Amino acid sequence: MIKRTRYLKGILCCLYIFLIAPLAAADPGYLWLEAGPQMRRMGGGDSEGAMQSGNTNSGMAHGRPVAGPNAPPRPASHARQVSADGHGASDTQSKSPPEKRAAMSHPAHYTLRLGWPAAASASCETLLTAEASILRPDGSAQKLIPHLETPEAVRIRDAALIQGRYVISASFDQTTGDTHYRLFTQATMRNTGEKPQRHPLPDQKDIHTRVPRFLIEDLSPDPGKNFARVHRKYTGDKLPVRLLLSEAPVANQPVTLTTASGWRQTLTTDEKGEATFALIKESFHDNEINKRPVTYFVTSEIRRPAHSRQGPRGEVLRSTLALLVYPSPLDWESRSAGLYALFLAMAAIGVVTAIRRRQRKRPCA
Amino acid sequence: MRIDRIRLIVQAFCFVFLIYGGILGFSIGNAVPTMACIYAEDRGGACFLYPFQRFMSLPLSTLIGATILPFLIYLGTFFLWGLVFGKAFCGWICPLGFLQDLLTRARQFLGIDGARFRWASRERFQWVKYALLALLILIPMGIGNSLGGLPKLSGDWAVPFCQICPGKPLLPLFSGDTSHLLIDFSSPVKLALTSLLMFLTGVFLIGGFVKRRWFCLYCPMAALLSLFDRIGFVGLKKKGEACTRCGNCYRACPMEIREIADERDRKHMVTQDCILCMRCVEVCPENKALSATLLGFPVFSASAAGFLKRQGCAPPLPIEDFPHDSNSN
Repeated sequence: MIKRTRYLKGILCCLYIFLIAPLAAADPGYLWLEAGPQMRRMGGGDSEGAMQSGNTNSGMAHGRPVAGPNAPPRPASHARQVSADGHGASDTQSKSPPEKRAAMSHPAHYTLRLGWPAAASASCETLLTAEASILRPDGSAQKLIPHLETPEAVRIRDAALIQGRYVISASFDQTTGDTHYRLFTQATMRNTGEKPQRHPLPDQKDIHTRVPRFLIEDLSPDPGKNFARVHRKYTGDKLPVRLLLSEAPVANQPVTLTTASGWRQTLTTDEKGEATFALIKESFHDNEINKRPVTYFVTSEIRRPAHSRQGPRGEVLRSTLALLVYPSPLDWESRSAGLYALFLAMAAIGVVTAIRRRQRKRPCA
Repeated sequence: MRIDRIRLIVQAFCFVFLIYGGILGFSIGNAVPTMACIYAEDRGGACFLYPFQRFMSLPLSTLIGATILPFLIYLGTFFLWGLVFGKAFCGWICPLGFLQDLLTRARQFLGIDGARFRWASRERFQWVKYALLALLILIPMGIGNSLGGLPKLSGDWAVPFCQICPGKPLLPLFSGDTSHLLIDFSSPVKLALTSLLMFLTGVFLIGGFVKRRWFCLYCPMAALLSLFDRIGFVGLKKKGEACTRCGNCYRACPMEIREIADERDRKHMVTQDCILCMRCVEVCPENKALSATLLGFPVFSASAAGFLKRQGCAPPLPIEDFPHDSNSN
């Protein structure tokens, strides 16, 4: 029986590798933003991103973090980086003055990834054509140019020196056969830094030109001044999201939450385009308890016929919200154990002291 | 009013300020040389040891490079505090010291006898606070640096002393925060440190009840403040020729410092365990045998009249005022 199951698994694997995977490769999947290594603080728990990329720069360092010394030179066409108001990274990174960062601050540093949630994904050179932008707390918005930071990572970066909430968006187009895929994603982060001085809004025509913009918006409440854990979500938290298509809410649309290990839950948006997920517990502690986060994905897809008769017949709009989810502290901290330990220690010391006192007071024979 | 009562009032005021001062927006910074826990959310000032350990866990190149200025400012602030108040922080300001004094008063109220360290035990464990001080420097250094070619320590070792200090679970309790009374199972290091913390907190509470100020004997902050024993603005001086070695000072001393009664040739009496509580001055019956000084000038001196007054006796009359025997001629 076991042998048969193994054979069946082998056949299924072969089928997947030789038949389904090549077919599926035609479909680009979803686009999402993954927190880059510079967003992981030095000594601050996990260093997953840093390990993945081999980049040892950290957001806590005062100097400007740049690509590692072994990073390949970037093509000139991709080397440009918008820096209209001094926030964006420039090509001459080594010449620019060091960023003066607040202690708990880190740059907006994201890796663009293409693929299927909880399955294979890649950050390939084709993503260099993706469009990305950032909306800062002071109201200024800017295009971010993806660049090949390491051979396996196409990234975007912004210094993010102002205190408050940043919204980073990216989109990517691909036509495969008769279908035109429009992939969208959005990420938000909060940061410490200088208090924002509201600038007059710059001309944002070049930023929101991609119609339709299909976005999943994270409606989690503002954590206020608690900057230390602002970008953190824990298992057990609620995740309210809203679907927007061309800035209008999309009602009755299925939205799917996929955990890192592939568990899925699909909800349908209400008339406001909103749905609320519970971030269920993942199997964080297979071998040992750890506090490292895993990535959860919220995805949605709209299929519709193309507007024009020329070109592809169908259009697929996909949107992704990727978020790091940490295991809840309830999984690794025990208050009851703490109280037991405290009372046991007190009882033990108390009893020992009482016995010793009694022995001392006992009259000598 | 007796000085220990004045001290209790000052301690209570400082305790309220250091635990709740932040509610009103007051803060005296994070470099205060006393056990004002940084984990208390509404604090009006925080212990120097937390940022100190954080600084020490930076890579050496960063510590003496980018962060040298903030580090020097921290050290300078600590130095100024230590210079001005010195060990008075332990006796008059420290919240953990205040808790121990309250436990002692509770024991006295219940009529339970206290305990004293044997001299041999006391001498044997004098090194503990210096060892703790060395560890709270070396362990954080091992996080950011490779000490002696050894692998770097994990982040779980960060702020090691704060992770075992009884102030961490106890002081936030006063602002309703029970989140530090726990055992952390996330790693063996965390498990060991939180278990040790719970054990030490239990020992602190029971030990504080049985023995006056026992935790201060092992406090690394006391070891740090010992730097200012001689140069601090606040001092304690002894006039050897006036001392009769009656032992009142030793019996009254909450830290049971033997030298205060034994040594007649020594002028500066602020020893490594002294908390400048001034109890010794208060109970000394000899004129000017002991004096509390500020910048070298005596501000509170022992006197026979004061001693008797505090004991509830009438002051001694001058010889000539003694009533003569009416029958004698």
